[in-house]
Amino acid sequence: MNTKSALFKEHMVELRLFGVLLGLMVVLSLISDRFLTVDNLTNVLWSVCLIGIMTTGAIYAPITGGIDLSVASMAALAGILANVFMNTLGMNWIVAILITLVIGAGIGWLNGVVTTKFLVPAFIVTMAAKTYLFGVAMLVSNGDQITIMEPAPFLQIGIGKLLGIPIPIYIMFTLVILSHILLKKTVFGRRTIAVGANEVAAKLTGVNPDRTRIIVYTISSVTATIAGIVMASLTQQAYAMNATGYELDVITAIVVGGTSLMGGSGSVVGALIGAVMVGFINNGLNLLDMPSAFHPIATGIVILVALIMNQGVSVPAVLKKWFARPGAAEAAK
Amino acid sequence: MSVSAIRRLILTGLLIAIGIALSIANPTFLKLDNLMTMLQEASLTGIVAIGFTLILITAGIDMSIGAVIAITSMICVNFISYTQLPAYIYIPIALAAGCAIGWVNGFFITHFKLPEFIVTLATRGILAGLALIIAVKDEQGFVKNVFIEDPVFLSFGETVGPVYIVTIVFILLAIATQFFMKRTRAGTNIYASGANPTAARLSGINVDRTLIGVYMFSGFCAALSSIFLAARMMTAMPEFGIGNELDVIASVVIGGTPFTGGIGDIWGTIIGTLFIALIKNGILKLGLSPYIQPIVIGGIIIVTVVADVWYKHHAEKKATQAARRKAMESKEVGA
Repeated sequence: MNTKSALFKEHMVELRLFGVLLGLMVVLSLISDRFLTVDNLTNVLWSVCLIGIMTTGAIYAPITGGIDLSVASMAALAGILANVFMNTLGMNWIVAILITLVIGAGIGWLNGVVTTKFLVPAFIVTMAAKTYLFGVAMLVSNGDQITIMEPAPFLQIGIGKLLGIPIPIYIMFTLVILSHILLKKTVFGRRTIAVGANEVAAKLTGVNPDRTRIIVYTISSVTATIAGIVMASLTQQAYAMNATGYELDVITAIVVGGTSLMGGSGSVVGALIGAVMVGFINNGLNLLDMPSAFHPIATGIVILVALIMNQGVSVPAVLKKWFARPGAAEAAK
Repeated sequence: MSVSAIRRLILTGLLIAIGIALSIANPTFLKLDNLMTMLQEASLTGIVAIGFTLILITAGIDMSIGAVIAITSMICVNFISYTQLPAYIYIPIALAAGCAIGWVNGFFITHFKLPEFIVTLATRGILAGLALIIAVKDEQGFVKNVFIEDPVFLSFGETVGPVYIVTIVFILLAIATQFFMKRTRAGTNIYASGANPTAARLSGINVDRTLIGVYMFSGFCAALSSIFLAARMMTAMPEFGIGNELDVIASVVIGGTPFTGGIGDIWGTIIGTLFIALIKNGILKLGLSPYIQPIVIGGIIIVTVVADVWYKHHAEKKATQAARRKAMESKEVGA
C-alpha cells in the first residue's frame, strides 16, 4: 500500500498532465467532429514526433539549470549535411548518418565546453550556436531548398510505415523510453539531477559537474541531429529554415511537462505529454481554421501559464500584493 | 588605466584598422554616402542597444526587443491606413505600447519570479504572432505593403546636412542615458540591483520597481527604433526586427557590458554598435556571401565572452597572489 502511494506520488506530475491532456481532447472533440478520428490523431503524433525527438535530449539541459536553444538550427544543418554526404559525396546512407551524428555530437560538446569551462551562460552560448549553425547551413546549402530523392532506404526513415504507423513515431517512442531510463535509472541521470539541484553539494559528493554538463549538451545536440535526419527524410528536402522556431516548441513541451527551468527535476514522459499537448493545440487551431499566426501566440501563453504553475506561486496573491503595494492608493487618486 | 579604457582603446584601434583595410579593398567604402548609411544602420541597432545595456546591467535579458519593433511598426501602419490621426498622436501611442510591453515583461519577471529569458521569449512569440494578425491585409487576406506617405512620419527618416536624424537621436539618447546612469540616484539603483539584488533590497532600494522600469525603457527604445526603421523603409512589415536581437546582444557584449550584471556603460555600447555595423558593412562591401554574417556575429559573441572570462580569471589569480605575497611580507616584518 505504502509503495503504491509512493509510486502514485512519484508520477503525480505525469498523471495530472495526462488529465489535462484528456480534458483538452474532450474539448477539441466537442469543437470539431474531425478531431477524434484515427487519421487525425496519427497526424498529430506524426507532427509532434520531430519536437518529441528533440525534447528527449534537450530536456537534460534545463534539468541542470541550463538551456539549449541551438536544437532547431542543429536539426536543419543535420539534414543538409546528411544530404551533402549522401548525394554530393556519394556515401552510403548509413555512413552518412553516422558522420552527421558525430558532427552533431561535436557541436554539442563544444556548446558544453564553452558553457562550463568559460562560465558563459548557456542560453548565450546556444543562441550564438543557433546563429552560426544557421549561417553554416545557409552557406552549405547556398540558401536553396534541396529536394532529396534518393537513396530510397534513407527516405523510408521518414515516410515508411510499420503496422500502419509511421516509423518516426517508433523512433520517438524508442528515444523517450531510452531517455526515461537514462534519467531515472542510471548513475548519469542521478548526477544530472544532482548538478541541477545543488551544484556545490554534487561536487562535494564526487560528481564532476562540468563533465556532466558537457555530456548533457552533447546528448541534446545528438537528438537534435536525429530529429534533423528524420525531418530531411520526412519532408524529402534539406533547407536551412526547415526547423525555424522549433526551439520554442521544444521549450514549451519541456516546461508544460513540469520540468523547472531552474534545474533539479524533470520528467521525460511529462515532456512527451507536453509535446503532444502542443500538437493538439496547433491541431485545434488548424481545425478551427485559425491563421498560423495564432500558433506562436498560443505557444507563448502556454509557456507563461505553465511557468507560473511550475513556480507554485498563487496568481491572486501576487495580484493582491501588487494592488496593495505602497503608493498604489496615491496613484489611483 | 582601467580595464574598460584599455578595452575601448583596443576596440577603437580595431575599428580604425578594419576601416583602413576596407577602404583599401573597396574605395566606395570611404564615400560619405556609405559612411552615413552605415552610421544610420548602426544608430537603428544602437538605440535598441542602449535599452539593452541597462537590461544587462541588471543581469537580465530581453529577447522580445525584435518583436516589439515588429508590433509597434504594425501599430503605426494601422493608424496610417485606417485613421486620419496625425503622426504626433499615433507615434506617442506606439512608444507607449513599447513601454507597456516592457511593463508586462517586468511584471512577470519580478512578481512571479520567473526567469527573464524565458518570459521574454514567450512574449516574443506572442508579439510576433500579434504583429502578423494586426498587419494590414488586402482583400485576399495577404499582408499588404503599406506605403507610408505621411510627411511628418517620413521626416524621421530624413537628414540634417549629411547626418541622418536617427544618428543624432541615437547620440542624444546615449548621452542622456549615460548621464542618467552615472549621475542620478535611479541610475545607481539600477547598478546596485544588478550587482547584488539582495544587498540592494536591504539597503532600501525597490528592486522590483527598478527592474520594471528598466524593462519599460528597453521596450521604449525598441519602439523608438522601429519608428525610425519604418520611416527609412517608407513601409513596415510584420517581420521587422525579428531576429535582430543577436546584433544588439553582440553590440552590447563587445562594448564591455557582461552578462553577470552590475557593470557596463553606454560609451562601450556605442563603440560596440559601430564595430558590429562596420563588420556587417565590410562583409557587404567585400562581396562575401551574406550567409557569413550570422557566423561572424555568433563567433564574435562567443569569442568576446570567452576572452572576458579568461581575463577575469587571470586578474583574480593575480590579485590572490598579490594578497598572499603581502601577507607573507607582513609576517616576516612581524617576526
